[in-house]
Amino acid sequence: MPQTVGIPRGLLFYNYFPLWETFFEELGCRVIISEKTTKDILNSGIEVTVDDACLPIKIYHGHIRHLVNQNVDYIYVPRLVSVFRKEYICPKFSGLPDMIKSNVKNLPRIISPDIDWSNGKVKLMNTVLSIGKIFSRDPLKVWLAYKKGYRQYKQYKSFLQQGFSPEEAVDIIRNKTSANDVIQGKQKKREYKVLLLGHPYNLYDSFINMDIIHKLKKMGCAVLTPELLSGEIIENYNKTLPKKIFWTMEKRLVGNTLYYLEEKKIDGIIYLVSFGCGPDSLVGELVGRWVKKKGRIPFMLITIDEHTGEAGFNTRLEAFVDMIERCKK
Amino acid sequence: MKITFPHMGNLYIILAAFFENLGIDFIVPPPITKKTIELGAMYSPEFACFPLKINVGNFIEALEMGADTIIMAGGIGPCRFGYYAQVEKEILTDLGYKCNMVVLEPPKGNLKEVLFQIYKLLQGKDLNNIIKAAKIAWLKAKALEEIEKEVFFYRAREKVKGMTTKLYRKALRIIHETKEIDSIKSSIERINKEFKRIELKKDHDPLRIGLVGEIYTLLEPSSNMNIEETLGELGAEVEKSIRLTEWTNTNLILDMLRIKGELKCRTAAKPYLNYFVGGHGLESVGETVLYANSGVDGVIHLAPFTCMPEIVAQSILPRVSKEKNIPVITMMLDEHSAEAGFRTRIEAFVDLLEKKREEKLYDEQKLLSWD
Repeated sequence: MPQTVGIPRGLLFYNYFPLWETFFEELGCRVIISEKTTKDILNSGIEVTVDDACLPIKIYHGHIRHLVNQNVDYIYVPRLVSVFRKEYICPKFSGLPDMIKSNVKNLPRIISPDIDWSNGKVKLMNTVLSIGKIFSRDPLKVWLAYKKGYRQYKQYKSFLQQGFSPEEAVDIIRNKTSANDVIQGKQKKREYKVLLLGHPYNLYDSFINMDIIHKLKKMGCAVLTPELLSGEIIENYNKTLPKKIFWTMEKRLVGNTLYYLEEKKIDGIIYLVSFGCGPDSLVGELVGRWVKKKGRIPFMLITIDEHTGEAGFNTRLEAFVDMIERCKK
Repeated sequence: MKITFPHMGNLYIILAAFFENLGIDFIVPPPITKKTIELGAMYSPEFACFPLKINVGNFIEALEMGADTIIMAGGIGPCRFGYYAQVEKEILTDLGYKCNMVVLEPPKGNLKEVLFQIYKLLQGKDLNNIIKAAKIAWLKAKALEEIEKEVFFYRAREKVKGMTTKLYRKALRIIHETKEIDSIKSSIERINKEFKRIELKKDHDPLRIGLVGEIYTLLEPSSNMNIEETLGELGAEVEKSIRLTEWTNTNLILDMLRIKGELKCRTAAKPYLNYFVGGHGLESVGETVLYANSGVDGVIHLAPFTCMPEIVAQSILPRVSKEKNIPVITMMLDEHSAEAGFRTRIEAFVDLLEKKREEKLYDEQKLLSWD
């Protein structure tokens, strides 16, 4: 019987899961991904977390508990401190495995490698081998599994950059559909271009964000997500700032804002933040101020938390699109 | 050039001593009042942490008084503090203030940059003068901490409520007004003599309560509803984990040698939190363990609302509390915190600790008696 590894569908899952999934599968494990976020998963997360934690952290706890109920042998909870030199994700990510261990009961074994590139990539190989050691004695096999995972991840990234959603990208990689089919389904002319800023775990979890992408599309907007821009452009536009932003995700959002404001290719910006998100509380403020000064386009900051009020949410989106229409005239 | 800086507890006394001896023109922002906090909260991002809001309030008040250069510390993450200065500058500029902001980044960020900033500030100053100014600032910092320890002792045991606090205020004024290096020592002696005159309650063995948490909230009384005074007057002796001189030591000097945090504290935190999470999150967990080991009755964890490192600590502290058998309470503070509710929670916590102590005593007595 192969060992089962559970991967929670939350936080940086949407950034890296083809890499993680392939890696564990290549090592002979059966990978179980928790199901899509539901009200139950959210509630089960809220039950065990402190009130002050942000929504994505609460939901992540829910996914962990969901996996605990499935009796997996291991759960993969990486400690993602930093994925670029001198940059960080967020302090909560650095303490995540410890929070999980303190909050969730009856945990199976937890695989929680420290992924910290704040001082460069030096330890990457050690990290990969140390995870692989659990399942295979052959370091070469482990490294090849990682390499294969990494190739899939690269492919996945490039599909995201072309504008496919994470699900579509995975389907294409797994040969379930062809890229052309997906594109044909997409070809519909849309009037307005909206830049939707936010962290991947908020943008691509349609439960958390009350299906915002789909809703905007239905209102006639083409939605641009931060994943469309290459790292190079992000880097170049960040160079114009007086101080480097040391949060990887916020740096991406700022790069996007500055790029699109300069290129004037968009009709509006929506910034989706989780209630209590630390980095966004400062960066969102800056972005709002810049847009006001330079952009002359509608800007809206939407805060989401566990108290869903979908009607109010829809009203705000409609008002926003109305505003774009008015500005265009 | 007229320099100003943010308030953080007694920091103003130390900085004032430094700039005064250098002959640099400066303005100490007016003491933090309700108005300061209102101003700050009005113009700052809603979900920014409380210290940033108070900073903004301080700056606006100081700029109104004629300051034109702000000195602010920086950081390199992952905690938000590292980006305070940039946001504050943007807010003040948008409000129409024309001011220059000197940001002192920690050495790990870029040593050359810090030295350059300091050099610009001190341009044309005599080296002897600089050393003297630094020395007097450091001595005052040490003196303030010494006095604070005395205050914690006497406040918990004083017979007439409020005597210690009154003397403490006087002591702060004396230290602030002392000009010469030689007279600092005699000032402390004078203050200590006055402390000894405070009448103490008989047979009072005060509860010992440890304070842990985010540095600004710990050091600035207006951000923590004056918790030290409240606890002291309830008859509890406060122990504080973070002190300014220690913090300077670990952050400016040890950081230069690339040693993060205090080793003892990190080791203590290890079973519960095994990684640096920015700010003082790791220290909050570690210090709580150390307090539990040293027989402190309870721990109060203080943090600004939405503080990321402290939320990590808050999630982990219940486990520490259970395994180490020490009551811990977390207080998240911001401009919306209400004094009455805060006080009630503190009083309830102190009651709980007293009850726990009584029970322990009772158990011990039962063991000793013959029946």
